[in-house]
Amino acid sequence: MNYNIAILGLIEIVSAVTIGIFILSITYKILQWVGRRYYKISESNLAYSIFTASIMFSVGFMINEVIQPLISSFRLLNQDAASYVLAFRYIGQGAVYIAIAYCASIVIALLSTSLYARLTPIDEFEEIRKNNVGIAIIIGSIIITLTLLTKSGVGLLIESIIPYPQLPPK
Amino acid sequence: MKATVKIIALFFLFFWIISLLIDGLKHSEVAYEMSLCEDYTEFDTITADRTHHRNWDLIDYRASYCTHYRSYEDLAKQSREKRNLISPSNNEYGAYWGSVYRQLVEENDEWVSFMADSLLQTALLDSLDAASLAELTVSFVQDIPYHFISSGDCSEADATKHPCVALAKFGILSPYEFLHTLSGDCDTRAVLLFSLLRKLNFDPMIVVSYEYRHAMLALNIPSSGDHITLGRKNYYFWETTAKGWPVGMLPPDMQNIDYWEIALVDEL
Repeated sequence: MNYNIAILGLIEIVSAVTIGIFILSITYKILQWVGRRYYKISESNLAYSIFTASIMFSVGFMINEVIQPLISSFRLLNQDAASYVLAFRYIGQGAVYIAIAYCASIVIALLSTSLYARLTPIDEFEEIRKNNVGIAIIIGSIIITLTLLTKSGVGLLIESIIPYPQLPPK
Repeated sequence: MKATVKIIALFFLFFWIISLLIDGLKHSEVAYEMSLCEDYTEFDTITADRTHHRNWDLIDYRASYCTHYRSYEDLAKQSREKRNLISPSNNEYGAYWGSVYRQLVEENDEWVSFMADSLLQTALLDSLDAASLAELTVSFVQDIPYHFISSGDCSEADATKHPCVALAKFGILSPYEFLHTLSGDCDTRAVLLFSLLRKLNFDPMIVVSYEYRHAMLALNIPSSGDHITLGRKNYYFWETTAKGWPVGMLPPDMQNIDYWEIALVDEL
């Protein structure tokens, strides 16, 4: 058994699970709060649940782009430092990457919802509040499609801030 | 309030687990001894032979190593003459370079044995495992400063202010010439590493890219990250032109695997 690879694998699993739980629970709480506070949407509203699910999928899919750069950053860390310093650096870098991916997914969700609202004469949130499942599915599809289209761009953005070693000029 | 406490608790749990795993990663390594020396070369004014003293760090700087070796001008000259006689057997990009590399590896096979033996000796003294021996070998080459090797007059390299070796046939030096002059570009390094790692019983590969105008080592060892698959074996990319590149990590502007093709692999 190769212990280094096993430990790297464990770090990847622990990071992915922790980031996943943390991000998804925060997203869910925010969406529930926004729904209740600004749109008076009840918890049994199926349309709003579909909308929430699509945003959570979008966030999760975008955060997926963080894991590989995070592991690359970890492998590039100078192992000369103490373990707790390395852990702090790792978590600090992770926080920056997650912030970028999270902001990107929020922007996409807002952009797709407002874009759809401008293109159609109906008030989308009013329809969702009235439990219009059709509208929720369409908005959810737009959010997911835009996430799929922008995912690799966000990945590149995160890649650009990984402190890769310098290469000689071509 | 309760949620905040939960988040803080989760953060500390995560921090503790990651610290613990990093600690495990460090302890799974052998406790290396630091052996510092200086990088310099002594020239024999009569024979033009050279004695190189090299000091280099492992990729994550967890240990430093030191070696010295003598290289002979007449062997370097013989190696250069043999390189000038190489005739590629194919016009297709990957196969063309593959045939050049193969001839360089075969012709210099015996002349680089001393370096493979020296690296193996160092690894045995420090009880390094196979992965660390590969890292020791690659980091030794990564530590040597980059030089352009040009088949022309080096005019294209002048703008970059990097040292350049002009009029080298195929724009490459042989493994022994590289050890002698310590001047190597991407494929010169890849060919030397291919020779050394093959001698150390690894399963190396040289990959080239027309699109990126680059050559790189790839190694079949248990690892993770960017790799190229041949049959059922995964060969992990290893950038060799600069210090600090770990196995399985392609530079960010060279990450399209489809642009890389196999030039040379040891088909045992």
